[in-house]
Amino acid sequence: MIKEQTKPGGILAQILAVARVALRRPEAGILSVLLLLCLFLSITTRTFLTSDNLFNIARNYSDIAISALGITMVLITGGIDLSVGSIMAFAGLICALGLTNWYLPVVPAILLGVLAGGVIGLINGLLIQRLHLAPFIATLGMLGVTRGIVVGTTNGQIVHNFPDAFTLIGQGYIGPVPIPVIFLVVMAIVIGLFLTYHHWGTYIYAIGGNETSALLTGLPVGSVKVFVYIMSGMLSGLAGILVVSRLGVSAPTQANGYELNVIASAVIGGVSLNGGRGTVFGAVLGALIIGVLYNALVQLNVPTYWQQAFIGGIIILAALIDIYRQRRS
Amino acid sequence: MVSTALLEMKGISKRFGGIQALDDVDFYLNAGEVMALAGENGAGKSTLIKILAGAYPRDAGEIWMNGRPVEIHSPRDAQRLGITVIYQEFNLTPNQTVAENVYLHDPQRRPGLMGRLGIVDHRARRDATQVLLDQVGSMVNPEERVSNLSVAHQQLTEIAKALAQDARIIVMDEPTSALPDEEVNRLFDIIRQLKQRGIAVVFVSHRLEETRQIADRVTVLRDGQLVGQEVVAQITNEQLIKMMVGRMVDTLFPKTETQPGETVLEVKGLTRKGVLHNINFTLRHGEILGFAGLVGAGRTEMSRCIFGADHYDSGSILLNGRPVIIHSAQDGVKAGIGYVPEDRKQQGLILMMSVRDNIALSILHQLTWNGFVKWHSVNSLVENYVQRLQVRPPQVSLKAEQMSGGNQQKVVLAKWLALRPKVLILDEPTRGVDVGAKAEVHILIDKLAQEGIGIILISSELPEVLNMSDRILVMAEGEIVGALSRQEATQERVLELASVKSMKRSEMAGKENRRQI
Repeated sequence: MIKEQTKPGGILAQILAVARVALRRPEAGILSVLLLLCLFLSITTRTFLTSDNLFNIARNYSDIAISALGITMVLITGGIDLSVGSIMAFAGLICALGLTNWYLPVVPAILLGVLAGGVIGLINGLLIQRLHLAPFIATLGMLGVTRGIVVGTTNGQIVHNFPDAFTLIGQGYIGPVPIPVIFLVVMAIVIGLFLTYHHWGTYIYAIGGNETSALLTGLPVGSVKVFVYIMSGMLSGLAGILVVSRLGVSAPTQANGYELNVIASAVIGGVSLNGGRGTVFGAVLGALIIGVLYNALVQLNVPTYWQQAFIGGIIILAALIDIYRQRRS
Repeated sequence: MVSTALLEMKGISKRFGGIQALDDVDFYLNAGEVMALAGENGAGKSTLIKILAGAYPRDAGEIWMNGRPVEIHSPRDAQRLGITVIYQEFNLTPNQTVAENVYLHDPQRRPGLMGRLGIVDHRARRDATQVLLDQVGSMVNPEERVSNLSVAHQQLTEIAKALAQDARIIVMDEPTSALPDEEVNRLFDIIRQLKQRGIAVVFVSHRLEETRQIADRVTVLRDGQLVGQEVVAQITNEQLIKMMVGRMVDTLFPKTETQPGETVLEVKGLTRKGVLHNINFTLRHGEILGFAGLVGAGRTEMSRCIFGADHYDSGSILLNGRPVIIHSAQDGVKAGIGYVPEDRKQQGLILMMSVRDNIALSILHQLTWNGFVKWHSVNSLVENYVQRLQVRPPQVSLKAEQMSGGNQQKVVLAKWLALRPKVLILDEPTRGVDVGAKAEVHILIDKLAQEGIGIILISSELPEVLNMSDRILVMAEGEIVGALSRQEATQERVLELASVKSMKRSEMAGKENRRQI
């Protein structure tokens, strides 16, 4: 009798304890915002809560989210990468040219595109680490240079007419799940595991926490910093290729200004612009929030011209919540 | 009865989350006295100061000045009442001039309409600043940028700034911790002058001798409570320490006599242009080699070169008789050299990371399987060092920033011990560490030497170097100017060696000038 009476209480207490720990996680706030937003939209609109719509959001924003995975690593080291939008276009173009002009099979073309993104990332990293440019300046410069190369080599023309095997990646499904979403989930798990379990993951946080201390502890600070920019370039490259595949076209203006959405995703997800703090899970949630918000604005018939203002407001709100949370702890 | 105290703080309480930082504390201060504020780290000294300065709101209590209650809700309120706090890290804008800083609160506008429009009278400001700088004995140009000043002159600038604000109370938070000995004496002269002008000075310091030297009375706090206010002349050091820590602490340095072993480190002709000249010395296993000298003598620079944090122009470094090439801190760590830097918050720790991550950082790459960290090995290693060094609280998931100064230093030490270094360089290992934890750090240093680690000990506290070291090298202006055995070394001897060099230099310069004439 006594056992039966105490047992449910024990389980309840355990659940509460788990919930309490979960709520203390930095992502708890952002997750609850996302859920509230979804709840609100499910009640106010009839079209939001359909699997078609939800998967559409996930697919359309998986590229932003994949790029956000890379920039999360850069931001945690205390850097920034403004060139991710240009890298998306550049890698997308290289992949597209590989398919159409150089007649590469699909997989090598994709790898070539990812590699191209990695090269731009490497240049970013070397400018910052070897030539001591401020990350903001180096990647702002590379934003222009990379976009210029894309526009210059194509003379402003689009590249299209891809094999079906390629467009399937961006447009197809496995079961009910769009393929880009599968890419996102796999990459998020890989990067998340890397940051948590690989020793370089700890170094990334250490460098952002205090670069001088990291240096004086004998950590390979230079290599780690170059590495995060390469990763940001490669992940943005992959994201750019997914965009080309989804739209069936590589346009020189593709992903123009995406860097702001990518950075916003990470920041909304609790990644600190001052370095040292943030998680992959948070960044993905941040991208989802942006996706759901854009979708919500459409569903609620807010004129397209006003959407930017709302997104800007959400970024400020997220930053305020973050400050409040830190002050409380 | 009419109160005559300049300042009375009555029943001050302050709580941060679950911690009662101050509990019903009374504090009073007379005009023209120097009051020392003593207590271990975390005793509530900073909180009390910050409440007085208007930086923190208080939960309970009253503040009276000259027998009248006053309200202090912001730093501006405090400033208006003539209360100035000089923080350890200073409150100066480094890219502006001395004059701009001294009159930051009131930029000396021009008379008439121009002034009302906010136009500043640069000449008046410069002249007024010059007067104040003369009063505090600072020779710097009012137009000099603050970032070009030495720490000592930045401090004098802060005092001039306080005078410009007509301060009646000046609080100095550990003003001597970054000063070389000869500057400390100058600071004390200035404090005595301030006293004569009727200004009350609150003096916070971990160094007992200084408290004894300069303070009239001492207020002791412990765990956020007032332990007592005493006249300094009527209390012994032992009584004072007992008040601070609540128990008797062995202030004697725990140096064990050991027979050092083979040479572990040999430095030959180490030179860095303009900084270090021809440094030669050897360090043996189990030896504590003390480096004494004035601030700026090149001790930190030397240790950074040996560790690899800075490059050197010529010279060689031998470990266990074999030359090693060290171009970066990474190389230094690989060679088996550990370096505890003088500024643990800025250079030693990653404050926002956990104690566990901080300790494991130096050897994390060794505890991996194909690059992936074996966290269970890390955990057992970290637990081991936390126990051995008695890190308190022993919760490795706490962030480093949540620990007290002494325990932060133990974390830095643990990080290097985990590496099992051959040579450990300790740069000011007990700076800002309270009395109780300091003794623990000393015991630990002694133990490490007994285990055979060669230790380089740099400290600006002479008693520490003299009592902890087997041998003492004295540096001045980037050179080693003297070597003393433990038995030979006295404060006087060391100071003489440390300062004689600069005297020689000026004599030589004088001779050269004469020759030119």
